[in-house]
Parts: sequence; C-alpha cells; structure tokens
Amino acid sequence: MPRSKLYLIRRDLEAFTGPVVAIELAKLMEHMAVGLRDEVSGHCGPWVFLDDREKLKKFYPELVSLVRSAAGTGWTTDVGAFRNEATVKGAISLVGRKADRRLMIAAAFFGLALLAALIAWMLAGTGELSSRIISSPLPPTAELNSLLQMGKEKEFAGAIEPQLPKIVDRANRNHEALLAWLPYLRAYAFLGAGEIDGFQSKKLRGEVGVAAPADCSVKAWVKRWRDAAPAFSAVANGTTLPSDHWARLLAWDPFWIGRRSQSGWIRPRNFYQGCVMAAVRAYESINTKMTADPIRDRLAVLSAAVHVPGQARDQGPVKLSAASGKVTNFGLWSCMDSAGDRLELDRCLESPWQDLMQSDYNREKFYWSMLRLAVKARSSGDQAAWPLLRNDFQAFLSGRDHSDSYTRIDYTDELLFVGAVDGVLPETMNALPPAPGPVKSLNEDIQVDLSH
Amino acid sequence: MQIRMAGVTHIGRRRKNNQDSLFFDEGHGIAVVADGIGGRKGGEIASTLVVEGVRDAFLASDVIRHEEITPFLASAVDTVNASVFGFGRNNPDYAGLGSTMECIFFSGDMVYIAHVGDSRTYLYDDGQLFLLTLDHNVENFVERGLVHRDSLQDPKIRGAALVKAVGLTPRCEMDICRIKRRPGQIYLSCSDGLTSMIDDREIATLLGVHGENLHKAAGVLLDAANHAGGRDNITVLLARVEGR
Repeated sequence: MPRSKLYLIRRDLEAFTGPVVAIELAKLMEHMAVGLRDEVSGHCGPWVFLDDREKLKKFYPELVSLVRSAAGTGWTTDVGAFRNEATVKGAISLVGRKADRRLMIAAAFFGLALLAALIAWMLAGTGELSSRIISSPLPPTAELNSLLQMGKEKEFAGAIEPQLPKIVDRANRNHEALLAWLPYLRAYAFLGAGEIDGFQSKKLRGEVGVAAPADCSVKAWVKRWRDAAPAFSAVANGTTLPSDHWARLLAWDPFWIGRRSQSGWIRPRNFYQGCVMAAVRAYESINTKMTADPIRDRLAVLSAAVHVPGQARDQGPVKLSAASGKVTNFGLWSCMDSAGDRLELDRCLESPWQDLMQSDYNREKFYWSMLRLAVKARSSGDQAAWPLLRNDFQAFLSGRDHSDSYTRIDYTDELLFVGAVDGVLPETMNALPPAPGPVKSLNEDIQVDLSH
Repeated sequence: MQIRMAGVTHIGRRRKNNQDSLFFDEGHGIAVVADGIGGRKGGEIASTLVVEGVRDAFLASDVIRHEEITPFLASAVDTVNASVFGFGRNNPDYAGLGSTMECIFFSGDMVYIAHVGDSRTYLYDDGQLFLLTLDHNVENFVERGLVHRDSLQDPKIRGAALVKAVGLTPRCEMDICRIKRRPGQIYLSCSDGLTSMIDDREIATLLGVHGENLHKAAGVLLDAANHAGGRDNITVLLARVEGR
C-alpha cells in the first residue's frame, strides 16, 4: 500500500510538529497551530517557509492551494501573494468535500460579521459604542518604516499612536502579528518611555542583549539612578566597581554598540542603543541642572553612538567629546573611548589618570580600546599599525580570561576580525555589512559591521 | 517506550586518522556525535573533548526534569566549549581546534537535539526522511539572511565553510530543538563524512531496507559512504523508538 506523503513543520529552528499528512497540515493552519512564517519539509526535501510562494510552488506544489485556502480561513495576515495563484491539479482533492463545508461555514461567519459591523456602525452613530470599535485601519508598515529611516520621529509617533492599543492587542494574540509589528513597537517604545502599556518588556528586548538589563524603560532607569546616587562618588573615584546595571552601562563601549545592528530593530538599531537612550532620558529627568557633571558627560559620550546612527560604522571612529576635566572613572573611560590612535590612547595612561589606571577593569578597558584601534587600522588598511596593535593585544589575551569582562560585552567578532583568535572562520566574514531581513523570531541575531 | 541505539565511527578511505568521536548510552537515551576540525591532532582532541564533556556533564547530573533539559544542554555545551577553547589557547600547536556536535537526548515523549556545525540529525518516519538540523555554514546563513550575500563572492569563503563550531570562540551558540517522538521512528545523527558521500534518498532507501536491524543499518550506511569514496571520517548513530 503506498504511503501517504508526510510533511514536517518547523518553527524558529526550535520546535517541530508532525510529521503530518497534507490534510492535517491544513487543519493545523486553520487552527493557527501553524503559521505562514513556519517552515515545511517533505521527504528528502528542503525546508521552505509557508509564505514563500515561489519555493513552495517549486518544491511542494501540492501544498500551494492548500496553504492558500487554509491561511485564508484561519489567519488574518495578508495572504495577497497567494490570491492569483493558479490551482494546482490534484491539490483540491486533498481537502475534498470538507473544503466545501468550510466555505459554507466561512460564508456564514462572514454574513454574521457583516451584520455585526452594520449594528456597530448604527450604534456608533448614536454614540452608544466606543469609537475604538470602529477604528481606522492600521497604518501601513512600509510608511512607518520610511518615516523611521528618514528620522521623522514625531511623524512616526503620530502615525502609530492612535492605533497602538490595537497593534499591541494583535501582537499579544498572534505570533505573526508580533513579528510584523515588533520593530515598530520597539521604535515607538525607545523613542519615548522605553516601554508600552500592556506589552512585555522581555518581548521588547528579545533574547539577545544579555549584557543589558531586561527592563530598560525610563521608569526603571529613574529608579536605578536614584538608588545609585549614594554610590556615585565611590565609582567615580575608583574605590569600587559594583555589578549594578547603571555602573556597567556607564562602562559600555559606544563603538561596540554602534557597530551592531539587530534584525527586528530599525531605530534604535539594537537593544543596547535603546537602553542607553532610556538611561539618558531618565538621568536628565531627575538631574535638571544644565551644568556638566561626570555622569552626564559620560552619558553624552555613550549616546553619541546612538543619536548619530551609523556614524561609527560609516565614518570610522567618531571623535567623541572628552568629558569635563574632573578626574573620575567616567572621564577616564571617555578618554579611552575618544582616543583616535595609539598615541592618544597612551595619554590616558598618564597623569591625571595614572592612579585610576591601577584598577583591573580600567586596564582591561585600555585593551578593549586598543582592540577598537586594531579594528580601525585593519579595516582602513593601515598595514603598519594593525599588526603592532594586534601583537600587544595578543599579549594581553594570553594573560587573562577575556570572556569574563566586567561589562559582559562579548568582543568575539572583533577578536576574530583582527585575527587575535585563530580559527577556521574566515576573518573577512565578520566584516560583512548586516543583512536586512524580516524578523523571524524573538531570538534575533546581531550583525556586526567592522568593515569601515 | 524504549530506545534502541547503534553506532559506528570509521576513518574512511582517505584520512590518516579518525577525527570523529561517538558516545551513546541506550539506557539513558543520550548520544553525542562530534566531528573535529583544525589540524590532524587538534580535530581528534576537540571531538574527544566534546563527547567526553557532554557525557561527563550528563553522568554528573541528578534527575533532569523536562523544563531543565534545554538549560542542561546549554550549560553542558558551554562547559565543553570552554574546555576546547581553553585547550587551543593553552597549546599553541593546537590553535584553532574545534568540533561540530550533535547531541540527541530522549526524555519522556520528547526528543531534544543540540546542534553545532555541519554534522546532521535526521528523522526517518514511515519510510520518509526529514533533515532536522540546519548546517551552520556560509551558504545556509546567506540563504536565511544571517550573513550578507556578498560574502559568497569572496573567493576566500566557500559556501560550505563553517560559521559555528564548538571551541572556536569563547562563547558557543547552538541550536536546540525538540520533537515529539513516536514508535517506529528512527533518528540518525551523523558526521558529514556520510552526507557528503551519499544523498538523502539513498540514506532513506537503506534505512527502509535495514531499519529493523540497527547494527546492520549503521554498517550498511558506513559501507555505502566508503564505497562512494570515503573522503572523510564517517560516523553514524541510529536510535529507534520501540513500540509499546
């Protein structure tokens, strides 16, 4: 007896459903247990996203009309790409008479929905129904994207704000909607309060960004800054280096943040940038005096990598403004982050920073700064400079476990780029520009651009 | 449901040593396949460190609850990665050593697969074969938009070049996936010495003919890869879910 053809379904490279026969796949889609962004594979066949019509047609033509039909009944996402698809011979027979029954049920539901809409419209006219029920359609994501790309933040907020509750509701209910709207929800959150009512902060963050706190809302930062106030001077003068998020954030490397773009993020380009933006906003809200202070200066250095998007990537290391003349850890970190070459970096070792350079972390940061210069030298083709920097850096690496950094920031990509770690990975791979692409899961990869 | 396992590892016909390593424990439902890379001796050491490291982590653990399996696998691989990475750093002669890893773990009615590199795990169910893992190579990463397409135009980068392996970097990212098991299914984990020599359809055909006898099936797959050239070390691990 010939076996039925089986299909296996994969979600986010993590979970499998099946194997199932075609009709079971259709039912799973109708019940929303399988979505268009899931992948399907048949016997000895490749994995194909269910919304990839061309590949589906090429490798599993028998599924095309089935997916179109099932998606149409179960999902509210746009399946326009399937509308003009020619019926594949034999595919309809997989659904058979049940498809007819489904059509009748769908027609009945459609009729009821139409009736409900009509009643709602009539009630709205008499003011008996909230205007939220009959609201305008959601703004097109392409338009939101272009506003963000052009830096029109106010217009972006104005376009998304009226529909925010509806978008959040959809994103919370439906995985597909979540993936579609996540970049815009993140942009809206981090251009403002760093959070959205009714939307989990861990969804805003995703599963990367382990060196940053899970909740990077302005509200959370206000509390952090207030709680931290008694420890400011001890951290500033180098007496202590606590494991609190606020102190770690001040020690972050702005260039490391600036080089990374994360799929699922448009502006800011990654969670770290969003976190810095919220921390700055929170600090300014509770320290309204305009006079410079070491923390404000340090935050200004960090946010330079955020507010000038792509500058570190496109124009080489930014000449960051050095902090005020006060001798603090924060100033020393800015001195090292501002250094444009080895000579300038070496000056951070000298007076007035000399004493602060005795701390383990500051010596470590000195080498991370050297790594940045090595990346710069390597990518700009400065053949004379980068081997020297590389040698110094390798001497540093051999003496310590660099994976255990105070900031928990992972410099693996930079290390591979300058050849500090020998391996089978081609060095140039880590210098490739980020690939734009749709969000496929909450576990978004960070792309590193070291090519400029 | 019981799990039956059979495995074999072989030097192949071209290589001077076997850099693959294999460990399986039928009673506990765990198996590890590793394919070492990075020099003649380095690869051998790396793959041994991987299988022994995962095995030791498993033996040292108490009862693992379902919700603890993914953290357990992640933690075991972190430990193994640190050990391989540290070995390479402390022994300049072995710099750049690393290994692929397939760890398959049966627990309750689920099967967990931890995957790094281009070794593979397949599911054979009702005469049909499905690839469960994604090769961590440049070609696949470009295809999925994780690496820029221009990288394929760089003559120094081959599409099959690995982008992930255990022990290459201080932190190792892996895929962990899970699937519900059913009686009669056969799970195949193997090094690329098998899959670069014979295609998926041939694997499916051979499992169809010999799947009832796992020891014979593993040997037949090995022979087929050697017959096709045996250009690399070959490791085959088969695990069948027995009926009630």
